[in-house]
Amino acid sequence: MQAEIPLIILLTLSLYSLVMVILTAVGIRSQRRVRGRERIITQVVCENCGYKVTRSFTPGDYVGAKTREKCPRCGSPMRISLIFVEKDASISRYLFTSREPGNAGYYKSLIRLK
Amino acid sequence: MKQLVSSMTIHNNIYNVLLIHGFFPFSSNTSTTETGSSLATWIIALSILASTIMSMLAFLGISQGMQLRIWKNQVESKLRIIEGYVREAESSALELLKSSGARNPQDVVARVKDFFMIGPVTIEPIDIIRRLESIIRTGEVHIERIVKDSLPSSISEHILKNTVTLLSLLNALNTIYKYLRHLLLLGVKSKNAMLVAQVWMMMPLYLRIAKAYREAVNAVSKGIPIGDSAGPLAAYKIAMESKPLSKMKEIVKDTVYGEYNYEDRRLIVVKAKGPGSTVGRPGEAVEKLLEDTTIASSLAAIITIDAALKFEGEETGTIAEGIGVAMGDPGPEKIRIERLASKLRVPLYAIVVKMSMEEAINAITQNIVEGVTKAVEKAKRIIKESTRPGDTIILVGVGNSIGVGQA
Repeated sequence: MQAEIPLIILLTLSLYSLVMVILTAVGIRSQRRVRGRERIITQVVCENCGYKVTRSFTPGDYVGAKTREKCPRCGSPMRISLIFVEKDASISRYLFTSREPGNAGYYKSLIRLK
Repeated sequence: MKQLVSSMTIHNNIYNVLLIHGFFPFSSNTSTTETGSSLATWIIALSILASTIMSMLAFLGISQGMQLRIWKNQVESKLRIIEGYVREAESSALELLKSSGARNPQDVVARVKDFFMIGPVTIEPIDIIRRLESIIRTGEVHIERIVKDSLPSSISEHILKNTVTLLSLLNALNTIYKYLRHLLLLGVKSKNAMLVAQVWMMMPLYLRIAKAYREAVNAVSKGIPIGDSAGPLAAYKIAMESKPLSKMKEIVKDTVYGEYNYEDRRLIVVKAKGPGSTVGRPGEAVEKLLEDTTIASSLAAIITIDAALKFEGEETGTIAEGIGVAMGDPGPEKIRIERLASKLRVPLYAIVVKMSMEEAINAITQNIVEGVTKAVEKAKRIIKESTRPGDTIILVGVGNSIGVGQA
């Protein structure tokens, strides 16, 4: 007997497969985005005039270290004042997490139990 | 059996009701879709059979066994992830040792990977702090000596400290992996579903901890300040913003202090010696400083700044002030400051920068750096409000000084 599969079952299975494919694709994409979001920044400050410059972290940098760089403003020696990770937040992430009025995070913080 | 029969009767009744009300679009009395109808009938029949079998399995306890297998498989898949983290940490440690010119990196890694410390006897509390301190310090010195002996004598101190911390991270990851594997295997071996269920339920938290350690490996191997460096960073900032009276110098092992003038007060800043990864011995340093009677007689306050675990829902980088010693050590360092403060009747002020456990051991973020700036301002305010010109204040930047040098 050659059984014919009912249309409703086929449609349900197709819809389920489609949803799973979309969810997997979104999951992989968001994981990639998370990995590529961070940047390590070194902040260098002039010891004379206090002028600040930021650049990418290079191995050997540490807070308090005197660098070979000269101040672009007065030419004095510079010192590393900060090293930190800068998170490059995407616009969609910003809209959903920012606590500023108008963004989803603002309303979420209002309804959060304190 | 009686319950089984009643269950089957219910299934049959439901099927009949649905059939009568035309629920199945391809019912047997529709001649044009006879094949579809028979398939639907088969599907329904098989699902009734399956649910009946499931009910039987539930009575026989087999479904519990199936559930145990599902938990076991899920825990195993997470354990494989943690095992991968252990291997990554191991290869990072080997790489760092090889690049530093270590003689026998494999041997060093093998020795430190399974290193353990046995806590002191707790049923006898007398001198427990001294015994605990002895065990902790012996452990620290021992691991440091293993690494130091394998490295060339010309290697810088901060690379040595960072390598020791990296190996400690490997040790922590390996311990988590082995302990969880032990619980799982024990649960399966003794058919203890509750034990496996507990591991399964706690697995997301353990995975989170393991992931944080894995990411810390990256920060430590590069020498980047971590969240726990908030205290030493605050000490560095306040020292930079004050008028120096002396240069920072080492007072006890891995701990430095410097004297500064802030608003006509003598400010003594204590922190772990950077830029290598170490928490130093701040308690012992304060104790040694107070051996100097000129400091002890004019001491007006001891301020500690440290990173603290935030509650879920709190923002990273927020600060809070309180009373006591802000220090996350197991006890020996903290108790020294508490004892001295109570003996000299000096108030203890604490400022904490809030962060999660992951943030505390990973590269410092912008939010934490902003928190450090706020903590420095708060410390200055406490100094101005609670002390008078001419007083001496000890400010301790508690935490790991990785990537944070001296002022």
